[in-house]
Amino acid sequence: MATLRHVWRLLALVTVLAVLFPAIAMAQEAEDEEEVTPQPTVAPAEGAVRLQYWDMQWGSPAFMAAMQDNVTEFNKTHPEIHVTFQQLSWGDYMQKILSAIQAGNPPDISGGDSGIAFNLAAQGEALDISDLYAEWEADGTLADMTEWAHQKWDWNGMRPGVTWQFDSRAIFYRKDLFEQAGIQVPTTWEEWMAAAKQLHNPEEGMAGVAIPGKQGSYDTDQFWMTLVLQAGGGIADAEGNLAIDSPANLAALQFEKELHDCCTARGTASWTFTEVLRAYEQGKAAMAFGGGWFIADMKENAPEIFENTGVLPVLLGPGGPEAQHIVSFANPWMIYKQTEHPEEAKTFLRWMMEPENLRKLYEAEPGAKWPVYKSLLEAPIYQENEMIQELARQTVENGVDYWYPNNAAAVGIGAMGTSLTDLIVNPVITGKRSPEDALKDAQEQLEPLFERRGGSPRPPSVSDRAATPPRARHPFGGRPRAAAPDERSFTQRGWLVQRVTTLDRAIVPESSRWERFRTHAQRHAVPYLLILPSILFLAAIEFYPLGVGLSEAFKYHNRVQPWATRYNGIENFVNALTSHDVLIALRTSVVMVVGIVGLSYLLGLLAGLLLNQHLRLRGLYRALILVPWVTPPVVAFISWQWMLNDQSGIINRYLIWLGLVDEFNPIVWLADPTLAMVSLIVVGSWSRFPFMMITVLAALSSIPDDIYEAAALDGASRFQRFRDITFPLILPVSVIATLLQAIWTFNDWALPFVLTGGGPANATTPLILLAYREAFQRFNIGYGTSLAVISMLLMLCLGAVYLRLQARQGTYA
Amino acid sequence: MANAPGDARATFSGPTAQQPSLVSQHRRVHWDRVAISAVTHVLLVLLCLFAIAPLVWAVSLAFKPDSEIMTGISLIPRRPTLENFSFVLGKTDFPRWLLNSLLISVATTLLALVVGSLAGYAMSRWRFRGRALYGNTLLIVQMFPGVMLGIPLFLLLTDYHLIDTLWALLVAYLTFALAFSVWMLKGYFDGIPREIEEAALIDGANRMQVLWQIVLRLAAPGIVTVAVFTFLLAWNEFFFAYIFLVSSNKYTLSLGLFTFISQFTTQWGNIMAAGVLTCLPALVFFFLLQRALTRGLIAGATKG
Repeated sequence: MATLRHVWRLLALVTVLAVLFPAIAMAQEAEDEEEVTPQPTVAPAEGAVRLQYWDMQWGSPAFMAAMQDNVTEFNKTHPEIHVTFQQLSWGDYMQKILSAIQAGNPPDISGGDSGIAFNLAAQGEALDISDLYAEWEADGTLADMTEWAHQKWDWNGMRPGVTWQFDSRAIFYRKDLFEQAGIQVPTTWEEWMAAAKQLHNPEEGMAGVAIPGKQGSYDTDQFWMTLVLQAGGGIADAEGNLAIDSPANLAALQFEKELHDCCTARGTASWTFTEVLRAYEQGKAAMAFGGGWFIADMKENAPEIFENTGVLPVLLGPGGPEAQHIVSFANPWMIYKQTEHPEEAKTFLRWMMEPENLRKLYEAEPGAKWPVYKSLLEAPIYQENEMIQELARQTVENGVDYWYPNNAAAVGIGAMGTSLTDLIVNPVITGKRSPEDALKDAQEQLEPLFERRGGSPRPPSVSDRAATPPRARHPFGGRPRAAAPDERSFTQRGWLVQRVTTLDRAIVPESSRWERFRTHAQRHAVPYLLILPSILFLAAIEFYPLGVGLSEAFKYHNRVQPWATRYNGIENFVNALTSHDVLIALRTSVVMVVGIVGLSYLLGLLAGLLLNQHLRLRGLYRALILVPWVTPPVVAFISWQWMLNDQSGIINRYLIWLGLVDEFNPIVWLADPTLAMVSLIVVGSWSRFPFMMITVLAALSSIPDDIYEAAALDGASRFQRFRDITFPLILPVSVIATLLQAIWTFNDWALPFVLTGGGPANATTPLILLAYREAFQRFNIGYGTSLAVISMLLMLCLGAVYLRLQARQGTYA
Repeated sequence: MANAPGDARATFSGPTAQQPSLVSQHRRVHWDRVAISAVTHVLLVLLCLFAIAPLVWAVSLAFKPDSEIMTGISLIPRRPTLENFSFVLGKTDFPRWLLNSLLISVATTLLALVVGSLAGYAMSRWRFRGRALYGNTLLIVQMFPGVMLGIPLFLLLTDYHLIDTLWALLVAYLTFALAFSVWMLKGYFDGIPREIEEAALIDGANRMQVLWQIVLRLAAPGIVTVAVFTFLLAWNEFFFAYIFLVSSNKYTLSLGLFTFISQFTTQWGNIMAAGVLTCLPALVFFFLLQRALTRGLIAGATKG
């Protein structure tokens, strides 16, 4: 048997790998050690202090190499200190830094997003570097620094970090188009809107302005926040309370909505900066809202567009001249309080902040990072072209970020994740919510994030944290949670006593039953011993976590406000079941499950019926149809994402080629709520129909031929035979397979996450994705877990039905 | 799958109300068969195209230079290039991720097989008290949403300093690999006649010897199938890798590939080259063991 030979060969391979595993693992660890040394020439000196430095994937490989080079350079010039650089990717990195802190092995120094130092300072984990600031003040460094770069970090009497780079946003415009149309360069919102309207020409595939609008993306809220700042609005008030529902913010939102409706491409609700840039480079937009890295990209990929592009001046909005701002994220470096070598870490930070060393970083990717030092404006990199010059100037003169104008609400702002996009901008531009309602919703939903300990913005000290949990409402009444220990143990003891007596009473007459069980178990110990390892594993990795999860569901637990953790009874569940978002997500889940399971069953049934006959190439057909089932989901969904892309996707390209679709008006598969759902269902069915086919084939193969022959003799038509014989016979297996698929589809996180990110306007956010987003992107562990518990309960109901049917089928022998 | 319901044959024996001439009946029947067969093949080809489209386009993009990807509708690259592959293998952490994926998948498979075959054997050969409860529990845990386990596991692994290590993934992957392999192995053990074991027991072998020397060898094809299944489950897993891993040198392939999207936003060639490489082991296993895997899938489908 050829298969058996393969089998043995594979078995041998697996065994070899099994033997190699520890060896490889060890080798890998050794390799890790090696990687600590960037270059052999700078091996750490004897007794050198070792520092861990983590930073984000800030840009191109060239940029990251420049960061590594700086670290190497430092190690060379400071033999007494040895810094190891570890690169982090975005995603949920904040959760992981929090975990490292909790586990007691955070880095000594790190970078991060523009709010990281606040979040960690609020947890008492950021080292106050006021002494460094004092030095910088004395030697004139601060005077050279853009104001917002250091003002931002003046927080509650401490300095948790220092800005090392700005990441700026601007509006790019086509100078040639403006000239042709005879439009003056706009300087106010009104002039800008007028220009966008005049240049917007969908028949020729020209959008007035390209902006990002995708759900779940940080890009989307940046355009709105630019408008918010120019309208004189902000996220929070001076006391640190959330003030998202303000007239200024509303004006900004209404302006964005109007602009979106009149002057943007139809796919905007699925666009990130990537799509914005591409549309602009392909000459499909007269203006584009984007970041500094657009400049270098244009220069390389679209030189003609680059030649004709300028940066609009900072616009004058309803907020007046004082509010003439652009969004320019002030990204910090910070030192961790847990570091064992604060002085060395400061030495490293001081060195890294030297203008000369920062300049090397900025140079590695011209235009992508903007200077914190005014003196660097004169550096050749910022003189390279007009656009870079203008944007660098705007950054230094007008750049502020979400923490402007005051940072009292620092922690809340840093903990919002993509909430501004998901709750406000995306629903409004897709027309799902009115601007007024969206702001009201957001105000309500985000408020808990802005809760501070005891109502004061003072960060808790370590000793304070020990005193948690705070005076919280008791889940079932007014009694404070921290009951007197005596009282509690008394009640517990009382309960125990009572319990023991009942048990005693119950056990005595039943002892024979217990005995019987024991002898039975002794005599039949073997199977129990055999399943014991798996039971131990299950208990450790399944049931214990499950118990922890269940208890989390009854807590208010946000990882960026650890001091606010407390049991809050069924509040999470009440909130969940009364929340608009959850109900919508639940409906989305149902639509998704019904759509995907239904369509995949139909396709599977069709394939199964077709393949269940003697047919040339049958084996090949079957093998090809099984391909989706072996393709790794991430690969498949990424490929689908490309195929469905409205600008470069192959599906639209074919439709255009066939003349079915207008080139300038492509079908926006992933940007329209309904189409996105349809796409999701098609892709989901694609990944699941092979399983259905196999199930149907298995069921069909157990139907004896003679039934058909008899039916044929009786003159039954093809369809009659299917309806009266085939279908009833494969129904039981079909129902079970369908149920199983329904459960798996409901639990499928990767499909919506990779394909659509849940958007547009939450249209493809099932409950499972919402639970993930709450727990991992908004740090809301308690609430997120309660959503997961709701999902689990629903699945247990389906699971119970499944077990019932299985048992009835008799396959559970 | 030898039994066909004989749709085509049935057309032959279908009785007709009138009695047309023998010749014309034959001609009609023949025409019917051709038409039906043509429709069957057309439908199957369409289904196959639908099934393989994403993979075929991924392969196509992987061999195209960047300039060709953004324009044109041709599947075959005009100027095929290996640049994308050499970039992915030479200039990124891809080889490291490959090693990580291999490590974690092999480790998961081995643990699941060892623990799973013991339990599967017990399930197959004994009717002990609590067997149904145990079996049902295994089925039910496979229905828990990943997020429900992911959140508490994340907190616990953090406490045990295991976050951002491959150990964390091993724990997470065992949650589904274990239950799955117990059930599938039970199915294979069921297929081995008890008489052989009984004979061995009478000859004085003990239970472990029987399991090791007889049952496991006879069930070897099944075990390999389960191994491949488990391997692929771990190889393809994305959710736990995404939430547990942070440093790029710990990534698995799926996760690394996903981060490529944000890193090389417009360079689809690189992304797809990495994607194709990620698919390779799965496809190789599949075409080597297609029959056994399909049979295993059927067993999984009908027996849970």
